[in-house]
Amino acid sequence: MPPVFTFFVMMLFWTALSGKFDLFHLGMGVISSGLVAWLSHDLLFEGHTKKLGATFKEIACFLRYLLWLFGQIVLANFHIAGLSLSLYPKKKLDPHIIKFKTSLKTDFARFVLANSITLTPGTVSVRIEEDIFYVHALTRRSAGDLAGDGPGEMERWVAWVFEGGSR
Amino acid sequence: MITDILVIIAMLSGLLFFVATTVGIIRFPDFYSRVHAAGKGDTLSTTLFLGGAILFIMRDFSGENLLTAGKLLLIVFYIFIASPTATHAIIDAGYEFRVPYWTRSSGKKGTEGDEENEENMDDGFYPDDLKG
Amino acid sequence: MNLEPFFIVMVVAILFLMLCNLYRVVAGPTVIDRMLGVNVIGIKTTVLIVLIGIIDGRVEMFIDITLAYALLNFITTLAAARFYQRISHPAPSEPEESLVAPSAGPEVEEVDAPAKASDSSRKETP
Repeated sequence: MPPVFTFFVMMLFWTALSGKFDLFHLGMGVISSGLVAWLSHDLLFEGHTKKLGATFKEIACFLRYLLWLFGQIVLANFHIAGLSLSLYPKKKLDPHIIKFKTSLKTDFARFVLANSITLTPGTVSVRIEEDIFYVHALTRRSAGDLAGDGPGEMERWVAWVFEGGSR
Repeated sequence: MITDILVIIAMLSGLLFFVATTVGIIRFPDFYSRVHAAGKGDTLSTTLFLGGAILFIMRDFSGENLLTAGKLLLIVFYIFIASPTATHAIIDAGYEFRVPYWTRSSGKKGTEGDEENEENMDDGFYPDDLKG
Repeated sequence: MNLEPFFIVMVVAILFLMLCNLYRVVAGPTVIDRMLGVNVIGIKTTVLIVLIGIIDGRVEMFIDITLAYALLNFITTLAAARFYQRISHPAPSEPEESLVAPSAGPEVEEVDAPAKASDSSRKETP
């Protein structure tokens, strides 16, 4: 990924945050984002070797995935609200930690999977060690989705977005 | 008019989830369950509140308001990434801190998360290769 | 429709919820519990600043404060969590030793040594 791309992302942020479009502010933006892009262009897209078209396709897939994730977040919130506003929450809770192995290869895909696990009903990812995930589950039922060979549907989604797997 | 009603609905449901989060944080028996309430509730309710704010701002359309709405959208996107990450950092720190935890069997003995129940810590809770 | 009273009610409600969360900060059995409470209060503050900006009629000014506050809240939580993780399992002291008594190895390796040591300790300490 060339430094030019980093420069354009930085410039977009600058114009959005400053909100002024005269020559002075835009010039300052060009200078500072050029400096940042020159010094640290390898940080933003570290190890990202895909072509530009593939990157845009990935972003589109990611937005589609976010839509699915948003539905899961709403479900998770109703789950939490039902638990915390019930009369005796301790009768419904049955917390325990489960552990599973993921098939995802890249770090970023694992990061997205861990965040998704945190946002789906009843589970929070505690620790990732290489390809082993430790997940804290709040009830037996929410653990049931993860206890088998892995997180199933969610892992397939993440693999579809980042590694070209089938959904 | 319709926008106003949408704003009210969005903010009221956001407030409902904030209440659920707060009640969960106060009532749940141990640290790990509280993390569940905090990590999930805050993400959605902040999104709902800021979405309501975006709708309210976009009632009178202008370039400046469009920019403000864009910044609000940026905050929503940022919280979507940052909130689960912060949650994960906290629960990871607690896991290494060996925070006492609550299970259904220890709950029957009458222990609360609020008490110092070090003796109830079951080492089987931690996977074997994580023992220090 | 004049929505200003509605927003004021929302602000008061969020303030009340923050007060309730303060219970967890004050009475939390462990340090990590207090940190969790502070994090939740910080996220509520993000919303609160936006609402105050709307009531004040100057959202475009308050929005920058909100952005900075959201960033700062995240960094605070992350730093505190990492700090308590570090002190609960003190890292091995190889980096300090290499600082005090530099070995005769090549320069490049020595620059890399502390980062590598802390990285491996991060994986092995638990």
